[in-house]
Amino acid sequence: MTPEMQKRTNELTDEQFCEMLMEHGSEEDGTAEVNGLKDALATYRTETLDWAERRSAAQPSLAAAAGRRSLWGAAPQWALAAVAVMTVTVGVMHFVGNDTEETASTAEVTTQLAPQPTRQQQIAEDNELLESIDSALNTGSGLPVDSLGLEHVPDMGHHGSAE
Amino acid sequence: MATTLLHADVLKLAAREQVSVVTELDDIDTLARNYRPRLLRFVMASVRDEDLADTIVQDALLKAYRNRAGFRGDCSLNTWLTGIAVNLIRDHARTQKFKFWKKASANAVEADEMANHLRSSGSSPEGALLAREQALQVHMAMEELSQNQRTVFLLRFIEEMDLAEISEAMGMPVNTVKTHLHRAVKTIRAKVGGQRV
Repeated sequence: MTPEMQKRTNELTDEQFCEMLMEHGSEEDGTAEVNGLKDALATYRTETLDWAERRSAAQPSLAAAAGRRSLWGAAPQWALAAVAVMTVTVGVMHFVGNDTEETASTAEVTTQLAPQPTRQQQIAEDNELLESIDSALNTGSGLPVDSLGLEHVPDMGHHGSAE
Repeated sequence: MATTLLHADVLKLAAREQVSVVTELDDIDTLARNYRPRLLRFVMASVRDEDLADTIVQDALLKAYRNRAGFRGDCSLNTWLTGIAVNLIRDHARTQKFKFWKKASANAVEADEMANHLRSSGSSPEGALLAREQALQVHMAMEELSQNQRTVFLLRFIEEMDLAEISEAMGMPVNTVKTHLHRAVKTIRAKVGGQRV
């Protein structure tokens, strides 16, 4: 490498270096540094392609893999879309139908299991309940424990009975 | 008259090339025979894993074959195939990013098959030996590049595509391609340049 070439190498900016590397000129046009890298890249191209060709030669045919998929590929797009829409529709209808039937049958079972009291019986039961509440309020001792209703002690003489 | 003839010749040539491309695309084995080695070289240099490179190249060829109706001939078949491979590498890097980089950095220490080939192939004169040694350094130095920088560098200097083709294959503007390329060359220069001189 001549001193002049060395000087040129040192003076090259990265931009200039990149531009010179991309040029397809002869070795005399570039600096030693650029030419050195060009040689290295040429070797890299040759050697790696040699490696890739050897490896590719050992690979099996792709025809079988391409054929497997082409069965699906042969179906028109609109047919696939129609199948997808039908599947979704049937699924939705199935679940909606099940839901309605389920609600109806649940109501039926509830109706059958719980015997409905007559209106008169209901009124009588309500009255009894109200009376018992009144009675409890009127006969309370005033102790806090009473409000818990832990025990019911009838006729303890709070009402001034015969005892 | 001469212009008309020339135009006709161009049309004939274009028609012939189109027929050739259609034939290649219609036969998956022809497609693989003609394009697999170059694709494999590019993908392997990108991902640094032989098995993964084989899988990505196979997927790229199958994808091209299945979508051959979508090839409009706006670019060369090589550019179109490279674009498919670039997207598959990107997808892989996105979905298994951690594994990808971990493997890449591990391979920087345990040299991959391609590096071994560079190191050991043939016995040659001293000049070629030096060039091969430097080629190996380029291979190692590419580890330092980002995914985009590495892809652009490989497409420009190894696959010898021009900037417009790289822009098409990578789906990015030419100016962005230039930026990645300048950064990549700067890094490679720092790592390899000047070591031989």
